Amino acid sequence: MKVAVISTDAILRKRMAGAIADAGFKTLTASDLAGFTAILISAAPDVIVVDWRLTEAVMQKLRSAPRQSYVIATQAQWSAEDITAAYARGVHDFVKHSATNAELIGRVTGYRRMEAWARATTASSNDLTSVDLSRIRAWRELAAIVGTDLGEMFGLSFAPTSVDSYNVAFASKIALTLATDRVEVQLAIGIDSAAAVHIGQTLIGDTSTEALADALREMANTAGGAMKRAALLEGLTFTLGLPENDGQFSSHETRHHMRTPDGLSIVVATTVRSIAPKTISAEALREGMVIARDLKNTGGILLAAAGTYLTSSTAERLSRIAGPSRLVEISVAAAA
Amino acid sequence: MSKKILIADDSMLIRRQVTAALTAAGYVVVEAVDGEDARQKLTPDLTLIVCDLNMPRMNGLELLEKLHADASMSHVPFVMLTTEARPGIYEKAKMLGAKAWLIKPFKPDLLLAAVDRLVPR
Repeated sequence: MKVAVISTDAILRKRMAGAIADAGFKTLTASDLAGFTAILISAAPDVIVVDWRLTEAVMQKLRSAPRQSYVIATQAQWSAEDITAAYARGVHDFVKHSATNAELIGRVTGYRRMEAWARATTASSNDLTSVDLSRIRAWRELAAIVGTDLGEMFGLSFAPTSVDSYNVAFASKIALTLATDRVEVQLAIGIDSAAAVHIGQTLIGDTSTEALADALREMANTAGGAMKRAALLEGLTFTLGLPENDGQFSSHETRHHMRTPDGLSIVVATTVRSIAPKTISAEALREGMVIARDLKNTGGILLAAAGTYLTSSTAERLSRIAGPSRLVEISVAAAA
Repeated sequence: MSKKILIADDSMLIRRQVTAALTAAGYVVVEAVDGEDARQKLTPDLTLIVCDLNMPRMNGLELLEKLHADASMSHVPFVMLTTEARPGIYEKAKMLGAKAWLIKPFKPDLLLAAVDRLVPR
């Protein structure tokens, strides 16, 4: 695997390139865009670690390159706005200048995990021809979302860790449906018992099982909304289902583990799968279902566009307008 | 006298988060578990309503429609707090008089800034 380190800072460049080379990767360095262009033409790096200030120019070069690279942006501090902007530019991951060598290598090898994830997804969803699922970059995107947005909202500071084992006490899931392309991303959030107690005591003043399950469902809902907006940046319009408790947390394909400095643990997990649409009568429409194909009346007037998520009132209204015997093609969201 | 704000959200976690942020800033907060509960808790002394969109029994848009049609309540600023960002719904809420649309996950200080801006002096 070839890794290019692009930075105007000679000390940083040398330290990062040294750590990557010590880990056994072929390393190339450049201090400016001209140097990067030379590397791109001669070596086609698999991974590029690049100064945040240079990312825009680098991404522009990469867009016309014959082979795509995994891009990690680096700067001293990352704000939530920077992270969002980085993803919008097409960056795959980000790292602070102060990251330890172990973290840096962990992120560089994210390229291999991404490749494995894309292969697994492709193999299990071979009918998803119209959507390049790797574009939504779900696992890393969600790690950032939970680590920044959710953390800020709930006053907790989560940071990704490389811990492999975890013990989830509560978990909730939510489905994001791309009805027009028959794709569903199932997002789940799990917390350990210490995090559950902390959330119960400090955030809601109630540690009952019911209150904690409600809190987790709302966290899943919030993360789902954030992911939906992240996917919009990629031109994918998902419909959000309803959150529910997840009894099958361990079955999700990809998991990302984060901890607070106090040791509270949260795991974000995702599964991407194809969904088969169903045809039902309009009178059976109910909340949580998603219209899979444009529904029109006999005069050709659109009643509900593909991708419409049904609330209880819209389901009732459609059922009435379309007539009970009318057949409707739906994708069933998780909660339905 | 403290200004009274109604928060309607079916999630206890969100209600507590909003209540904590607003009470720390000196507001009195009344909680409602859904749109129907909020409708029953509408009082003339409310200075603002913070409301989720998707809730059982009555959703945020339906509550907003009822407020819009009620001359005694239509002046109360309405802030939608939701994960939704579909333009169609946003435009409908705006047409019905919603004054702000905050997206979850929200930062408590942004919520407070929106509320401070909308609450009549």
